[in-house]
Amino acid sequence: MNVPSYLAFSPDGVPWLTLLLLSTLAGVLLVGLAGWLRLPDRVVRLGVTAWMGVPLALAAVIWSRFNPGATAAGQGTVQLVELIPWIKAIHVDYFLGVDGLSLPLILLTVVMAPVAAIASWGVTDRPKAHFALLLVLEAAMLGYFMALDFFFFFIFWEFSLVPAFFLIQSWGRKNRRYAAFKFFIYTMAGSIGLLLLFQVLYLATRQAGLPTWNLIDLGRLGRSLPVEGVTGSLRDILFAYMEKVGITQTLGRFPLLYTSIAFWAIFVAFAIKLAVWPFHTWLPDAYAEAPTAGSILLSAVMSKMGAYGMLRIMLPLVPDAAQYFAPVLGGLALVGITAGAFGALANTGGDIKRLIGYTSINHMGYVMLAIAAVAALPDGATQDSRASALNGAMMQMVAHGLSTGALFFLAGALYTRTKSWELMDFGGLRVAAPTFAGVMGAVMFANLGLPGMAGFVGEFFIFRGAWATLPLFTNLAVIGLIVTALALLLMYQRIFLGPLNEDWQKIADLRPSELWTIMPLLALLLALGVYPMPILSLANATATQLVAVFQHVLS
Amino acid sequence: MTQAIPLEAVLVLAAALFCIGLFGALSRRNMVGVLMGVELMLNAVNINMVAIGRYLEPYPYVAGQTFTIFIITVAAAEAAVGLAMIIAIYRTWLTSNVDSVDSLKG
Amino acid sequence: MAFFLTYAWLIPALPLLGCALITFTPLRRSKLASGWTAIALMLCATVLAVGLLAATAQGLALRDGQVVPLAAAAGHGEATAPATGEGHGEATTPATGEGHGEAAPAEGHGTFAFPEPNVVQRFAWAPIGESVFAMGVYIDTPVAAMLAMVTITATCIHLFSLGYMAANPRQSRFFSFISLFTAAMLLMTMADNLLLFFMAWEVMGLCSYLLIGFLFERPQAYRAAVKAFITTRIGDVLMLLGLVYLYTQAGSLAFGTGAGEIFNPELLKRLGSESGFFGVSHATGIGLLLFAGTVGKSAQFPLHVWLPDAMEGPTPVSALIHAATMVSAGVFLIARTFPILQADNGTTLAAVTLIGAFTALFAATIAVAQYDIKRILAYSTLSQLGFMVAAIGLGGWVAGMFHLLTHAFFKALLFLGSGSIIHGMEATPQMKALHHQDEYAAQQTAQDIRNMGGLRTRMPWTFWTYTLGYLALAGIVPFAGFWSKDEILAHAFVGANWVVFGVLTLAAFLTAFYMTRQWRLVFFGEFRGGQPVVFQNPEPAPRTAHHSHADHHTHHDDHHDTHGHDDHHSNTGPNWQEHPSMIAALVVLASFAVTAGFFNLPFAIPGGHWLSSLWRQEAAPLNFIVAGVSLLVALGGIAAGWSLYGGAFAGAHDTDPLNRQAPALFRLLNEKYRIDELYAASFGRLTAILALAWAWMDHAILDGVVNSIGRLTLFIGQLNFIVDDTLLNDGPDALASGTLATGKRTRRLQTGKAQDYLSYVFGGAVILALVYLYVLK
Repeated sequence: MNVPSYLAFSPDGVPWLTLLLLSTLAGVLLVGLAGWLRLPDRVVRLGVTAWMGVPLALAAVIWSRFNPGATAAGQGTVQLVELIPWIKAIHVDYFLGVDGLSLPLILLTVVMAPVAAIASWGVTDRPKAHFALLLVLEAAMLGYFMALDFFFFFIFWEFSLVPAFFLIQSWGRKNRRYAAFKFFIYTMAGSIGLLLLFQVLYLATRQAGLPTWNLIDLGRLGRSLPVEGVTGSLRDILFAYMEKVGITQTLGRFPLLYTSIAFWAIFVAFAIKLAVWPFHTWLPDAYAEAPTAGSILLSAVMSKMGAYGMLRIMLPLVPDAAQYFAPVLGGLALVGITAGAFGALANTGGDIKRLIGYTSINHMGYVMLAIAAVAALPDGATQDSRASALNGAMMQMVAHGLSTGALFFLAGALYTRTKSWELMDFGGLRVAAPTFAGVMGAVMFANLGLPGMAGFVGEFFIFRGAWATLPLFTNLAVIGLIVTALALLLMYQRIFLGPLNEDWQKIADLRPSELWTIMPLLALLLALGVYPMPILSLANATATQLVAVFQHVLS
Repeated sequence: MTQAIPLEAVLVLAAALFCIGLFGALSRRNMVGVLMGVELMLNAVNINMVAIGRYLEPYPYVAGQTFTIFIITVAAAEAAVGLAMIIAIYRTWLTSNVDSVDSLKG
Repeated sequence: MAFFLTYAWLIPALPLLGCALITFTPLRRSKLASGWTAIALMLCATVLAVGLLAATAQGLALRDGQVVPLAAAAGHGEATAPATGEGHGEATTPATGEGHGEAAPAEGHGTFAFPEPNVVQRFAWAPIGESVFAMGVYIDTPVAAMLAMVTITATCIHLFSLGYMAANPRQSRFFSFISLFTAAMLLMTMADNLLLFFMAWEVMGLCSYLLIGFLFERPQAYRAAVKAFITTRIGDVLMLLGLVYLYTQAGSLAFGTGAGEIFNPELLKRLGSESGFFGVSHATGIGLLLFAGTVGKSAQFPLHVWLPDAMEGPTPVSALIHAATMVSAGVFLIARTFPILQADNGTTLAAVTLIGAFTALFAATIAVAQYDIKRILAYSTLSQLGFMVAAIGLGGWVAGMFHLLTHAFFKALLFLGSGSIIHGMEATPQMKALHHQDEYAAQQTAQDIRNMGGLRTRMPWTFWTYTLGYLALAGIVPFAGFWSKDEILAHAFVGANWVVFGVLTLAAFLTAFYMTRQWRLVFFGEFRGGQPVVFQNPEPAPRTAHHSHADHHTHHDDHHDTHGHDDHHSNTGPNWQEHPSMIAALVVLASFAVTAGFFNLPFAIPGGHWLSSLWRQEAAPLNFIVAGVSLLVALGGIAAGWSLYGGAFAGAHDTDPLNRQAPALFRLLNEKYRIDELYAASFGRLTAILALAWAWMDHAILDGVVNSIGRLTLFIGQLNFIVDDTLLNDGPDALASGTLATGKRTRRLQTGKAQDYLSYVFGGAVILALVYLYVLK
């Protein structure tokens, strides 16, 4: 096979990505084996948690094999590629690979999965199924981040819903059925457009001579970068196909129109997952009603799937439409930031998980703002400022994953002690549980973007990048920084400060197992906040190449 | 043979006897009572057989009487089987009440 | 000397190490060990900082790891300084009355430059596209002076805390927090770029939050903490926008005048001439946004409301964070970014002056009518910060920085003195009795100057040191405050900014007045604490475990209540102890309060103008008119205060003389112009309403839409079902279900009872017979 320069196979010939994917599925089989052998639940939960170290180790190996600075032919080199023809008839390939956009999120996934597993130790109802679902979910998310063929990409995208649905539906709280259905149906419904679009794209590329589902090649075509075997940009290919089918006679001969339709099909699918306003209302329900492990994985990793999809598909495939609609995206991001912040504030007298959920909407709003800023018209923006926004978005995703996951973990730990989610039921717990208060305080400050913690780095670079292209939205977005801080401080105050509530005189402080689950997360947040190079250098080369296309007016 | 007793009177007697037997078979809750009712109905049929044979059959009037003999024999056998079943039922359910034995209910 | 330059980064690292040691090692279990660890590390940092100051004062610099003299750059500041004409000419652009004249001070706009840095050490921090963001330390002489000041005051305050916090069970945590704070302050001072500056700045905000809310059981404390954090964060996010704006324009945030650094003359010229949003130049936009950070952190009007409430924190915190260091970080910020602020020919600096001068007077008027000893000092701090901000706005860069340094010493001294007084007051039997009932009310009552009096003899060390601080603040020659305040006034005077000069002079008068009022009421007269004005706690806290422990401790003192309030002689013994570590700290700071002014004596003698020459700025000579006026004003304020409060307050419940003369005004001042209430009614309510509105929108509208789409789908589904059902399914279904139903119905005949079957047979026979007889016939 003639390999293009922008694909790099595993240097040592070991299919590391497949191993990573299979390691999680092997974990599922092991849980099944344990069920068959009727091993005690304690063994299963320790075993699954320990087994999650295997994907972690494999991801570390992948990180060490990854060359962060590599670029070729106008894009970050996709590395550790595995490319095997799968279904010849419709040109589906088994195509895995990582680049600077996916690797940070893969690392985030393998770090957060064990945390979710530890958070489930208290599950007594069908624990084996619970742990198996966690592993399945991890596999689906990893597969999603690694798959570069739309066929597999979409399978993993949809399949990740299944374990999440069952986690919410079977182990969630009172209102779980509603939340699970809303979450599942909303995401499913949103991705219909995406599925249809790719079928059209397949037909269009077939007409152009290179039938493909290959996301890298499609992305290159979208950015008018050369792809072997085909000429012209994706926009021309799509338009030519529309003309052949005859749709142009009805809708008009405007190439931008068709890329715009494609853009919105892609955007809606991923915006729902990213909880962009106004598609965000499933999120507080799902986060709040899910079991702790579900909340951790949903907030820490699954919401990033939406942003990743935008970066992997929306920006490269239809950059012209993205540029055209960037102000709309910026506006939605701004409304989302404010909505999340004030929504969190409105919940300071209520449910702690809903509050954290709303802050997530706020934080994901910054990611959306960054994506809008990357795509916006070149109004004095340099490539560096766009790269800064994209780097900031990657950093923000990682930081938000770590800190929100930790917050949900601690909220769950609080629940196991008090059996309450209501903020008004607490008060003064810092006296009885000082370590808990200290750790939760640190996590909370990390979450609200205190400098020195990773979240700030993300926010700063997002703002720095967004100022250049969308100054007005950037200016208004800082309201979110203030109001989220207020909401989180009030949350902390209601739980820990003030005179000790008589009911919790004997509340247990953080147990060592819990402390040592959170400590690595806190250490990562702190380390990345003080020295963000490890994540930013991963993302930077790919990001810089990706944003180059937006330096020109595209439509 | 005098015509003192008309056929109708004998038939009415047999019908009355049959009705008594039917009533007994339907209303008695004791299985033995039911069995007795059944015997009465059989005997009502026997009377009919003999009477109709005597009044309406051409000479030598044996068909009705032969059937009657058969019926009496069969009735004896039937009573034996029925009583055996009653005893078996009583041993199983400790009752001879027909209402209590409805395991064939659909 | 090379050591001090090379390892300057150790200065913030040592307190950080202290924080880490206290937090993460078993050291935290011992109050004394954690306290002494923090103090020892602070002492090392102080030695390093003083050494660094000495090294930089010798003009040594670190270039490529080699120590070289900075002689070549020595002439730089002086050569560029006297360019008055240019500054004047360009200052004709809009600007208010005060703004116009800033050009007057001799330094002139557009020509101000920092001295060459002595140490610049940078490392790659984050890759951004093709470029790399570098972080590191940047030390020049103003930084070295700040570092020395911060380490000295911080060490004193650490030492003081050892005595002050001795009774607090969470002493280790306290030391951990103030160490972290000091580390952040030092890091901010030596930051080589605005981002690192901002990061350290925010960490200070965090520590401020933690320490204001240190006594977190009290609703007042944690509310004040949240208020402080959020209020300063409003300024901070604006400053963040300023950073982002500047970064976008300059492509860098690094200090320095080289290419690609933010004080590059060409860049500044471009920023000043190109216009950005709303027609104002980039420099104005950036400058005002950065200044918003100062307004928040240095508690300038209109974001001043948090600082007085911040006094809920333990007193050493008030001294360290809310008087000496963190609040002056705002001033340091505008001093640091001064070239950018002045790049737009005066507009920004006019705003800076306006805010500063207004706050100086505004806060001073409020301080006149307060009773809480710490709040008086807090408003005094606001007022003095206003002086500094106004000084920078006037272009009096040296004057502002000079006042920053001297003020830090004497205000820290005053706060620690007040801490010592409160510590003594809390030990009186009346307060202990009150403490027994309500901890918070007891503390507030102990801080009320109406309840003090006659402490001169009871706390002699405190009295004498406090007096030195008081004279320095009031501006009496030769104490520190006189020299620095005089330099500020001289700037306004020489620049012919009569409004600013008048406002600041009035503020200086009020400063002398309210300080005399406080000093007089606290230290002179009879002790009035026997029958105190008791603070009415609107929300008495439920008792905690920690509290009851204290109760137990104080039970045996209760009988003292029966003694009259005049028996102070019997009380001078155990109740009025002054802790040795507290005295030591007071004495050190007092010595600086006396001598700090000599660092920049406005005379052409050896050692005169030392700071000016150290910082390579033009020296301002003494203006005898201003010095005379300022001294007269200070003496006038003292005389007015002394005479007005000479006979006042025989008992704690007397009316304030000012209150008697102008009750309405006094009430307005006492209630701080009711600005807190105004904010609560406007912004507070607005935020709450917005929160509810957003929540409602999510819940009612968006969720409503989603749910109704869901319901619509369900409805369509049902419609579809009905169609399918009637047309396609019903036939076979009805057959099946009919069979089933018939079976169900007929099975009821199958009772299992022989008699029933018999009756069916009979019934059937009868029916057949009837049919045969009547129908078929």
